[in-house]
Amino acid sequence: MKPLNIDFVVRRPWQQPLATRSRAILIALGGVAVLAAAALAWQVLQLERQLAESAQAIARAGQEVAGHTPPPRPPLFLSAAQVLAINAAIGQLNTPWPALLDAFESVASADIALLQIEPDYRRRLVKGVAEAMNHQTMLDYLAALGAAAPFARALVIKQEINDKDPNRPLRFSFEALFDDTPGKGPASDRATPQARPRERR
Amino acid sequence: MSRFRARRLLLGCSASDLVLLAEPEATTDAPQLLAALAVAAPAAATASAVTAALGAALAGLQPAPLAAADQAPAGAQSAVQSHFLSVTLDDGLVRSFVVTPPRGAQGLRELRATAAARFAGLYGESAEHWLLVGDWHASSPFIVCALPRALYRALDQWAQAHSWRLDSMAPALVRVCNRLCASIPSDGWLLVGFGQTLSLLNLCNDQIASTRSLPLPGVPDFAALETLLAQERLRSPDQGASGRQQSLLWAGAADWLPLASHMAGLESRTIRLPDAGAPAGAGSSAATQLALAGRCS
Repeated sequence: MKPLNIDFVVRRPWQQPLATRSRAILIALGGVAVLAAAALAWQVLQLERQLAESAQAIARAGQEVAGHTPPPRPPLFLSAAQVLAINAAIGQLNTPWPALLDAFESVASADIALLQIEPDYRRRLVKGVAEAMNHQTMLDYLAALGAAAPFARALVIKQEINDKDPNRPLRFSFEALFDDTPGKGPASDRATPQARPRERR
Repeated sequence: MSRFRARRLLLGCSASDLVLLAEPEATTDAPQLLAALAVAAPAAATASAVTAALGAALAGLQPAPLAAADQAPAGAQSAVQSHFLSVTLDDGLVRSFVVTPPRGAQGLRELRATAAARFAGLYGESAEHWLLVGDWHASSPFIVCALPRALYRALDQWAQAHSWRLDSMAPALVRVCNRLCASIPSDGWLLVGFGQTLSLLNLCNDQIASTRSLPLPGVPDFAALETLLAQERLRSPDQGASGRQQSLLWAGAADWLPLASHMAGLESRTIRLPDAGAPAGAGSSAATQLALAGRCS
């Protein structure tokens, strides 16, 4: 049998057994929880107020900085023709002249007189006019030029005998396609410049 | 030694006498008799008459000064001593009954209302002038004890008049139950005897089935107790419901408690509360027995 909790004297709350005080303990815990919740809510309100003040201060500072900052330059608008001209100039400036001239110098010989060269950056080729003693010399020159980096191949465009010259040299125009892609050497169809003149011939 | 010392005072209260003892600080010492007073027999045996007689007697109960050994030594720093009063009431002064809580009872207020209704049904009067205290349970029957509010006020005012703190006030049945709760049979009877009052508590399946207090006309012998027990067993509706053999436990300090091992066909044993600590001059009155019953509970 369990002890009887019977006493006519009402004890003070802290003198009662724990089971009897459970409701008072729960009420006390509830009160503490309510106070803690109120404190947390007050803290949250304080933080929100501080956040709003900080946001307003940042906005004011941004406005002040914007007031002291000069207006940005207006954007540069170019017409299509200007863009094309600029791109053309950039393309011409980007022509790999040292490599091209080195290639021409490497294939230069006493049997070939190089009269003119003119780059065409859009088609990525160099037009040239030269004179040779005969057709074989011309073909050898074009084959050597097509094999020299940065050229990929060289083609004959036009040929004629210069009758005004007492030696009657063979004047021909050619186009040498260059490929300045890094690591890409001369194309495998270097024989094409030789074959095509022969076919035309 | 702490300057703040607590001294426990024991008051035994029966309808016929009052005894006030002071519990000694050393457990080996005997309690000190502070006051003893016989209560004049009331004109009627009603609760209000007994309460009035006890209230009048309390006014004349003046305690003797405490023993010199318990006072602060001369020349030493005076010690602040507080007194706690523990009152043990005779079961005849208290109305004890069993309340079965209503199904789905929620809250102490509902249990109190049920106990008040039970009191009114049992005794035919309102519980307004009675202080009801129970071992409240919402799912199992529990004991409720009712004390006249006038008697409680008289005892409280008497304690306050002597600057004592009223620490505990309980009937003898509760004192014995709390002291011997491990020995009380789960199926059987607890019979408590103090003075000329016999209290019976019937338990079935470790739950309280019924309780009853009987004033004895004289000193009963074994046959009278056996007859009385048989009558009470007939009144109890749950006899043998658990299918287990019931047993008896006699407890208290009355001289007439039986010492037999079997009684009315049931196994019986007796636990006499030690009254060897009764101070000289206090005798073995019911109030002295009651005061000592509140000593260790």
